[in-house]
Amino acid sequence: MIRWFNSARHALRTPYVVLGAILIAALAYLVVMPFWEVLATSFQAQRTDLRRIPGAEVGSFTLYYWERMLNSPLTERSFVQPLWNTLTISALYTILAMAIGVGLAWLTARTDMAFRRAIPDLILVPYVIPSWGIALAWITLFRSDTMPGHPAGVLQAFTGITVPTWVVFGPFPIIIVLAINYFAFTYLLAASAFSSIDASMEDAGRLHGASRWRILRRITLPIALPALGSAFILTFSQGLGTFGVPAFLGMPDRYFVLATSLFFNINTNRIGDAFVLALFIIGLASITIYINTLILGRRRQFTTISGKGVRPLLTSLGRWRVPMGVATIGFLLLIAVVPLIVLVMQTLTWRVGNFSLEHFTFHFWFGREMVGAQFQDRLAGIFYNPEIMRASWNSIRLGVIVGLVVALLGQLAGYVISRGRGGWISRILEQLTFLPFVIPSVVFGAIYLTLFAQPRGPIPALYGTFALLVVVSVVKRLPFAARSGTSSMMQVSGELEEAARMHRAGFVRILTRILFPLTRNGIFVGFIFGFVNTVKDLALVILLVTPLTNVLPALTYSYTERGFRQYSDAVTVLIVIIVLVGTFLARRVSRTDFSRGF
Amino acid sequence: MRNRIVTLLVLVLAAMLPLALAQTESLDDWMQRAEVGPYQPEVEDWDRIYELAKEEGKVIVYSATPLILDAAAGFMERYPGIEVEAFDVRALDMLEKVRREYEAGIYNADVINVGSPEIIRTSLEEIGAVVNYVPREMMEFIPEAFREPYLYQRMNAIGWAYNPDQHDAPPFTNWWALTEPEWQGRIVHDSPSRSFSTLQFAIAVVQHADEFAAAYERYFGAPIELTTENAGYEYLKRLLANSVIGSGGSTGMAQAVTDSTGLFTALVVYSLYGQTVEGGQYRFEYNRDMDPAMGLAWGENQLLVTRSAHPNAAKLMTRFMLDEGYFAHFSRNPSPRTDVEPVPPYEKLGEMNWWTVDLDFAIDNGSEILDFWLIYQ
Repeated sequence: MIRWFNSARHALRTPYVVLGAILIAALAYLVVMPFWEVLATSFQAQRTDLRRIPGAEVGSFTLYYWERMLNSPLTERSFVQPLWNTLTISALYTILAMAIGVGLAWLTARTDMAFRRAIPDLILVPYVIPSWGIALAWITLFRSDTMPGHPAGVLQAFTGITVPTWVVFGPFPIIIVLAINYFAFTYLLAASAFSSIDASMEDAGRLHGASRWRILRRITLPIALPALGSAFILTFSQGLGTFGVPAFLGMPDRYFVLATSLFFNINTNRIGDAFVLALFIIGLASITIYINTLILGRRRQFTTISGKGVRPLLTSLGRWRVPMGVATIGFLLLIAVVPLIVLVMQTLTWRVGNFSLEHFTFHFWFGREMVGAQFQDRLAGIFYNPEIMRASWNSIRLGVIVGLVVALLGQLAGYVISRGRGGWISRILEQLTFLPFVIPSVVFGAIYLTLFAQPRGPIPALYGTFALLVVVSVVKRLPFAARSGTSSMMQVSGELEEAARMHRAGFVRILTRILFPLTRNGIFVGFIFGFVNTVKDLALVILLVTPLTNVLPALTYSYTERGFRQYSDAVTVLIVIIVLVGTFLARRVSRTDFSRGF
Repeated sequence: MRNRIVTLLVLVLAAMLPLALAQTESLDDWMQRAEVGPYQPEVEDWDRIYELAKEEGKVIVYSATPLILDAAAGFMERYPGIEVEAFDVRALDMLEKVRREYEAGIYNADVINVGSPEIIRTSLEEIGAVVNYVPREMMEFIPEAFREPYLYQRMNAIGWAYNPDQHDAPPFTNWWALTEPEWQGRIVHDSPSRSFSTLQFAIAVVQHADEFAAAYERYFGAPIELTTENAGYEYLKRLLANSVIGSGGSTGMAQAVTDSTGLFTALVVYSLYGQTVEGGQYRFEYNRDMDPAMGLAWGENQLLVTRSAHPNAAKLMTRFMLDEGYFAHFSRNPSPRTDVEPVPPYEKLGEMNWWTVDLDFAIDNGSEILDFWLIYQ
């Protein structure tokens, strides 16, 4: 008894135990409980469905929603097809993204291609454009007036070339756009895999007279395979909940994925149906993550630095050295610049689809409100439009706050995880901080929508408040920040803390004077990652914003829905500008080279 | 260390306490204070209401039309001292957000302006979130059907439109024509899972199943053979096999007809018809002799959100939008008032062949019809 009491007393004096307990409690409330809530709600009768469930009261047990989704005339269109579409799209875009990403990684890490050192920086450039922004640009570029109900796009206006409808809407463009969005992700994972390969094995192959191709096929790839497999799975898992791209490109073709099906169910107040779908998305994502841990075995992180200093012998591309380099750089610039040009062009046209000079206008940027004019041009240009200005301020505010909070929380979680290594607090916290990665954004939004719609105990209802957006964004960004926090805290030896404690420094003082300064780089990477992804994120907030708390991505979605295409494109460009300026400022302030931090 | 954390926790909890304990005013007390519902006086003193509204200082309006931004500017000019925050939100989104805000105890909106009576009934009125408010002096000008159960601020309709530059005569006169092969891919409409007017439209089709059965016989010369419950559902099923889901909301549909070439039709709302005049943005026309009907007429409701902070400003706004504000900013839509003549090209809706909304039918069948649509779309 006394021993137990003493050890408890000791634990309470150990900062990481106390801190860990607080973080675990908070995450249990913010991540685990919502999950149970969703599960329970999917079995409870909703107010709006009482007419259709005989004898039910609000909240009484029912299998109605599960039956509707899994065994009713609705099943095929609302569940089976979206499920199948989700899996096909995720698989195909992942294959494409892997082909580009792994190819680029191999070219930059293992060959003598010209300009290869510029690739790691350049590859992040397309990343500033939100994936749904690329989708909007895709539509603007390729649509044509041969498709009923659509005006001419840039391609048709300038070249007269028209493409078939399946190029513009449906699975094909969704796969291409997602691949463009995610190949940087596969590149980063694959590049670290390639650089971790001990080059002496390849040397051994070469000494035995193996050809370059044979070495690649028999040695390099097999060694890199687990890491590549893991990259495949992680990329695939990101597609399961993807919302924006299929919402813009799939809907006109009546092509639904689980996430869009879920969204429209929530939108028409069919919470029960939506939650059954949400559980399936979470289930699928969990399975893929489980497969990932199987592939990686017990290794939880890639070994990026090996003990030996053997430099890999670079494969010579011969006379293709320069052309390949130029082609690669050209490709990266193309996918970064073309979407932006296309979007900007549309914002400068008075009528959608008419790109002639007499329809050129700056109205959608600098125009004043025109009372009494036609519908879409009566709104003021984005710099004078109170709705857009409010949303911009909300977006910037949200990005900065979330960036800061998530960066610091990530370090704190990293501190607990690294100091408590091997203990159960560390293990639980590591799992909990990873959990939001498995729950796709749109599902997260749907869950928080219902979870915080009403007061719960001491927590007031948060729906309609800015705080809710902050909370959901912080939780969603935590997995990355906690990973980055763990790896930077691992590098700080515990001796420093002990020395400080000897001098009677308190924990807060140790944090602010020793730990945070030393892990500064990690904090800034966490900030920028949190900022960029929060400012761009549509799926997470689309269900949670209200007119007063609107943010730019949600505004783009509503402008597109209402046919105000110039405004939606202008707002997308504005988001890219905010992301670029924010990133630039953060780099200036911190002098951090964040391309290496990923 | 431990002390600091404990202190911090205590502070956080203490800060939350007032929020948790805050007692909200009862609905009845609010109505009494706002003088609405059963407490609306027989004669309303508008000078006093304006004074009270100035004290409130502000009014927040959610509306499903961008015209609300004009109306807001006009209101602020007419009634200095009251700031208007107006938001143009799509109907389904708005109703969902108002309900959730209300359930969360956040009473942001003071007035909503949206045409979705059955959703207003099932998701807002049942939780007490809205109250129907008709300024006393307007009662005599608005027929009861247009002010009960919910006030119509302006009228609207939805029907098949074609481009008169492409067709000398309407390209079809019977709805069943659209189920023929030559219309494949040449029909555009929105989806009821994001457009309320499209849902209303689908409900009206099913409700008038008998008329569809008769129209079928007139068109094909033989009685319809059903594969679904009735001729209304049957029509939706065959229509969906031929049509395309358009984007861009109601303006997107109007633009699509305007830009169309050859055989083409789209479901377009009547409120955009005013912009088909000379120099207007759109070019479309309705067939007035359509069999079985031109489409569906309904109204855009105006309701007060209960427990809101600015009820008097909301009342003033409502009167403004039925009267001066209507003439200045909404005259492109017919008024529910009997003393107001429609501005050309608009005509009196009652004199055209539109169906009207049956609220009870919509409430009882709306969900099944949406299900049906989702299955066949």
